[in-house]
Amino acid sequence: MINKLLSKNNSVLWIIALASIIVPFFLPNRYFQDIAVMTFLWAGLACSWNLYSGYCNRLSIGHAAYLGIGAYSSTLLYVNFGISPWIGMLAGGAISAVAALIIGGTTLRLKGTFFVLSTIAFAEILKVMTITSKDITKGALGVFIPYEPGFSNMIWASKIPYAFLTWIYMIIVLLICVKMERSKLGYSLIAVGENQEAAENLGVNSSRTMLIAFVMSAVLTSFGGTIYAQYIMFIEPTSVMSLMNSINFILLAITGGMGTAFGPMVGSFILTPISNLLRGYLSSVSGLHTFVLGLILIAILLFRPDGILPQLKLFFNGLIKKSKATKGV
Amino acid sequence: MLLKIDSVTKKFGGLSAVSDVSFELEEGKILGLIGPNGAGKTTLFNCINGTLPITEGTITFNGEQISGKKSYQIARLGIARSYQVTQPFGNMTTLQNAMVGAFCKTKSYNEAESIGLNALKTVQLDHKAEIVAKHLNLGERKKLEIAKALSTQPKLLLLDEVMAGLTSTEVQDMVKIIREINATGITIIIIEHIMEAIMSLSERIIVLNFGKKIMEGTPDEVSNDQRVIEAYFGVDEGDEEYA
Repeated sequence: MINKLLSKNNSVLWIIALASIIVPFFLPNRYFQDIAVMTFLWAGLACSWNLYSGYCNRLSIGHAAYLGIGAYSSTLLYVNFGISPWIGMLAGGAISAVAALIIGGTTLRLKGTFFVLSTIAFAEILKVMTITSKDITKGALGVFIPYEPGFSNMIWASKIPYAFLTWIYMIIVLLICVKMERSKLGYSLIAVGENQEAAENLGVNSSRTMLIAFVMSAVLTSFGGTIYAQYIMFIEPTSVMSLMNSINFILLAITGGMGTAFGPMVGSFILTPISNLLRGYLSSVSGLHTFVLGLILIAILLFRPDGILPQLKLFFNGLIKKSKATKGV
Repeated sequence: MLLKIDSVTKKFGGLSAVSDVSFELEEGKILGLIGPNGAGKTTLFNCINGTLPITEGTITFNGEQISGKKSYQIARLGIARSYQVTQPFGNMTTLQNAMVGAFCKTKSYNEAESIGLNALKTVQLDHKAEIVAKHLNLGERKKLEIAKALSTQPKLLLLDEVMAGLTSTEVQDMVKIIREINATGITIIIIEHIMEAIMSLSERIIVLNFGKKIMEGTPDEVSNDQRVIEAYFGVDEGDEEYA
């Protein structure tokens, strides 16, 4: 593990994050632009997941639930009542907050595996409920969002506005994480993750700290869910709330570096394009792309168990030192 | 009276780890707590700071009853402790470790940083401020334990074997640090097995054995007391036969 609060030399990472919006403009076609949108979106989502699970060292393998709440809330409000997804996004956030308060209030005190299992259980229950309550959610058929481009509908013909939207989402989540790292909440949360009893003895109200972070994480994930729905324009329970989606949050965060503000972003910048490109180019043999992706993941986790970010930071620091040294001469 | 322990009992099932212990502590003093292994010293600390709920009795701190409160509430009221087995937040730097406690009295990052740094200076660990805590050696970890506790700006400090495993120079160092902390007005209860250190530091000493208070007095009185010697070395029943 690395020092989690090393937010001092983040300048290079900020530059990467801010500059990444240029990339979609240089991509040749919609296929590659689509990959860019998904990369930004998953970067934001993984950072949201990391806000609780990464800093507090407690894996939630059920964040697809909040992705689903965000997606379904805005979509159902839009399709049934014509309410703008921008407002639907806030509604989804509010519902996620309530759900996270109830779920977190009851499960956050569970330790280790039991917490992990409870998060999976909640996501699965929500998925089954969405499938069975056909009257509201159209069940397993899913919901189509009619194509009516416009800012207020959060629907555009081109991929570029989506790239902007997902990029802004990612930047906002990053800002929140970086701000939190330098606050009482961040310090308390990391301390609880390291050693709950020792943190309590230093005046940290651990259950309150965890609950606040958990709710923040759920709400931010839910915002991403709305964007996801408006981008794909079709949602159905088994794809939105799949266990695979839940696991993707974790894969990206671990690959980049758990418990660091920029780790999940780095993870998504690396893994999301790789996974999409493999799917595109290795389609001749079915299943081959997941096999290759698996090998890549294993390699990363074997050689960089702390994630890629710490290595990246060392590399940048080396470069900065070098350039300073040459200037000095 | 800063702290008043009134017939406190802590039972684990049928076993009384602490039974019917009472004492009072004035502000600004150093109180030693000694006794053989398993006498209930650490358990008593756990009861005072709320880690363990007590079975019977009451604990009053600064005129307020604290038994029954949670440990984070008690920490905020002004009781801090260090652990016998050090509990650093391994992936945070030394300074960040201290800042966690500092946030219990302030919300400002800069203020927390200066409180944390001050605590590190007190224990002479400020030169290691940017080192990740898991890379510290035992002596430094023990100091960090104290710094973390100090950063909560306590009125009462509970020190649990902060000198165990240290070299004799380190012990002298630590004794000096504890004196300095006490000189700033912080009351201290200290558990220690190194007799020289605890005898020179404490104004009064309480001896626990099998969870009971068997003796309270000045260091001189305690070291000459027959019951204390028996508790530590056992009753020599065979003496006469072999004489």
